[in-house]
Amino acid sequence: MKSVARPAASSDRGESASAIVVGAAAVCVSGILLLGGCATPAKPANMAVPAGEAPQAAADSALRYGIAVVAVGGGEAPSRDMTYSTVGAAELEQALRESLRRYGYLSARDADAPLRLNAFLLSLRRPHRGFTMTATSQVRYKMSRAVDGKVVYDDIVQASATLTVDDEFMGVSRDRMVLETAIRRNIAQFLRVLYTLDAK
Amino acid sequence: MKGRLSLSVMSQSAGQLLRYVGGPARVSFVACTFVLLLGCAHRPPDGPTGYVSMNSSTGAGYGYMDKYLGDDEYSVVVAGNRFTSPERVAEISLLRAARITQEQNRTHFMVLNRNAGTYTVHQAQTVPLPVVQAGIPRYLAYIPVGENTRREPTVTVLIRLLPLRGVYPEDAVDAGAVIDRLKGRFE
Repeated sequence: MKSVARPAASSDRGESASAIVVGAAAVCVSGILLLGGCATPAKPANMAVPAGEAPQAAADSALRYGIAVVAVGGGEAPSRDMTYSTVGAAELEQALRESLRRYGYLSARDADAPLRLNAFLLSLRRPHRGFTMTATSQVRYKMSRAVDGKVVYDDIVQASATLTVDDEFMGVSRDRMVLETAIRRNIAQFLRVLYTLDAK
Repeated sequence: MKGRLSLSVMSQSAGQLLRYVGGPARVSFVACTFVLLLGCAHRPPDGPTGYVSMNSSTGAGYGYMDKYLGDDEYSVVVAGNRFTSPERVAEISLLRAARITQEQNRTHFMVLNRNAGTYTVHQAQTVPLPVVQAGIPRYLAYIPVGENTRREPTVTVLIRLLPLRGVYPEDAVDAGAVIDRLKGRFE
């Protein structure tokens, strides 16, 4: 009797376990879809530096309206399965241009600008998934004179950002926001460098 | 402090909710909560980081990642896990720079810029939630009780490959010599 009863109990437990797995999977998928769990690419508007986070270009500065953004590279390809956010080169360029414009550095016409700027996203260290997320961006900014190609600035700028569940509850949104903030702070840091160059 | 408060409130709320949810739904609830809040956590390896490529598509994980910047210039970024010393991370970056040089059929390179530091990493601490099914205790879900924060070493190097022929400057690096010196440690 015992030898017959054991397989039956085991089979019941197996069916129960299968039901749990199927139920968990179904609820998870529907929950993620309902709550917008898909990761989205970083938005240029969120990466552009808002007014007041860095000093404005001085009115008598040679850099004022004097920089043309000639190339931005190193952007990440979009996530195929949308499980993590990315920062593309086009989005980074938009954010950089908008920030330079706001702070009085972007030239109205690229051809007339005395300075040419190249920016390259070297790395964007994304967070381990968790409640607190920290991201670190490294961008190489290289600026040269248009007239003779002489490099006036060439360095790596690094900036980090940390967000918690207080900043954004949803993990996927927090993941995107922390990347955007790390880029925004990087551009802000570069704007401060420009102001320092400006003062020389 | 705010983060700890939120975690505490969340744990209490989750506990109250779980009282009214039973069976498979409880497992589903816990699983969903963690997928939504944490995402897919990845467990770092237990040994020091070796000469391995980082996940190039996501930039996650440990190892090296290089990018071509144009004009014979490359960047090499190395991230080491918590078991990796800053010296080892620096050696991996140097070895990768030398490998790139040889892959491009060159013999020497120059280091244009070097940036060494640390990354801050947060990792959730969890305890298993016992789930009983058919009288058998199972540990299927985990409840957050806190977070670990640590710093991991990283180095970023910008290099320029030098022409195959010509007089090399004093600070030019011989890629072959670097590989001879370091390959035994990583291969």
